[in-house]
Amino acid sequence: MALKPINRKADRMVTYLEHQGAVPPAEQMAGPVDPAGANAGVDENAEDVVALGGRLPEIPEIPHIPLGCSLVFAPGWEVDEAGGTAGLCQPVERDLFDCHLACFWPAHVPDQLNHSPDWTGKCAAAQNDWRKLEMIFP
Amino acid sequence: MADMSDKMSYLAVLIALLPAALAAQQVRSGGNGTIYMGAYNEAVYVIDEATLEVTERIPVTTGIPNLMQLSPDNRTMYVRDAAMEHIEVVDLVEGRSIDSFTLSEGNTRVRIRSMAVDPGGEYVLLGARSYTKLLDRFEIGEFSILRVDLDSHEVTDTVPTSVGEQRQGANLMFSPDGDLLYFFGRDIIAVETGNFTEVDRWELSQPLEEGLGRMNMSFQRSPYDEEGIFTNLFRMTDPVQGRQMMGIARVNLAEQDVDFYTLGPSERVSFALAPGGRKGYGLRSEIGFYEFWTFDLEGRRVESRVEFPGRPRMSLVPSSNGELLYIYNAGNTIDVYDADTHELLRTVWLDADMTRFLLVPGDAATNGGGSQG
Repeated sequence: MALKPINRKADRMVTYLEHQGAVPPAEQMAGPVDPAGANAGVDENAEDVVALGGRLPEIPEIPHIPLGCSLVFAPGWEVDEAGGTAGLCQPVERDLFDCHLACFWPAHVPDQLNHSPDWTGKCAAAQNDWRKLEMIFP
Repeated sequence: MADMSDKMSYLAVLIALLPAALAAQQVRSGGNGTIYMGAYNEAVYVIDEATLEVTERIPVTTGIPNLMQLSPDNRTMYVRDAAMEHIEVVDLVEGRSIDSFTLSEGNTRVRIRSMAVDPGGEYVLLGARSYTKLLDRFEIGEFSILRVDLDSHEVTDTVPTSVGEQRQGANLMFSPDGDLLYFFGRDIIAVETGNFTEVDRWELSQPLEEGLGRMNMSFQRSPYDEEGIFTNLFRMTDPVQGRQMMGIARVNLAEQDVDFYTLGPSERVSFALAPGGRKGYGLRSEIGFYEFWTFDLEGRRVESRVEFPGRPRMSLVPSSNGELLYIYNAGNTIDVYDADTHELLRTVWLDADMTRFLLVPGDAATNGGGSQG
């Protein structure tokens, strides 16, 4: 025996299940004419009921940060992979080389990919001998 | 006068005990493994895990080593440079670089994002994209996975684009016999390596059971997982309440089986499996707040959370005997902690910052054990 939605919430569930192909369309169901107002606002609220085993809404993408670091000139502005600052290094020397490496932070650290691949050549450990890093003038 | 005499006595006792205390600290070994570290001074460091001393610095010829992958017998290391243009082959037994190649030529640079070396050592698969500098612009090529012969350095095949539209962000891994190639993205896709046609697909991007959310987890290889097994932290969103949960999953690739359980609300904590698979450790990092987490995988619970004075951008790996924890990454230090008490035992200062850190348990040159990418 087919059921007729008796209120707005039940109607939304029928609409959702119709969309999933789980039940025949409402007009094919037997029963009395729906009560006044039962279908009001169906379209604007369609699919706001999520069945447990149904298809899940897409997870929003995480922020897209080109090559890991900031590409704008904003001193002190750097974000980690989650778009926050918790993942950044302290002391800053620990992050110098990894900013140089591929993620090139052009305003602050020379670009390793194209222009200054040997920038770290004379300084293997940034915390110890960062003074040996060469100044780069674009 | 008596006070002075007492002080002198205490001092004498302290001086007498000092060598013993130092010796006790020095003998605290994490095991007999080997650590391979990519260093900014264009070398691969070989570090003896027992002493954490650098035993060898193997210079590479193609720049700063970044991605590193070991052959199944741990005798050869394949290194991709930081500029993502070169593959270099390092003979770990002889301690020297023996080969290198690039796909870049002329005004076209081919940047290699990922690599997977065939277990037989005949070819390598490179996930790459070309960048051609023209007079007025750069022309960016399609991302493709290229099969490159390791002897001739020729591109001999391309993995068809029909295989897994999610391949760009996927990790690649061969089966031990080299017959199958796995793409680890949101789903796991298996292709045979003759013609690279899809033979199986495991849709982990869909909920495993009704009422569960989609499971998000990393398939990064642990040195302590068995072949074909991945144990890691996963996160999911409860579809009814919208709560973010986390738990531990043990994925068996061959049997397509997932054993999982939730631990509680999701928190920003990492996970590293300990040897033996009975425990795991994690790091929770926030600005000014750092915690060691210990996971009891048999009891299926969080065993402890201990605050400690950490720093941003730490990575953790348990020692091969399970007694110590190594904190590394972003810099030139390895902090050694006691795995039980989480007491800082010592800090090892190296003469170069690191790009990559691989711990291989056991006698790395001969054990034929697994490798990490």
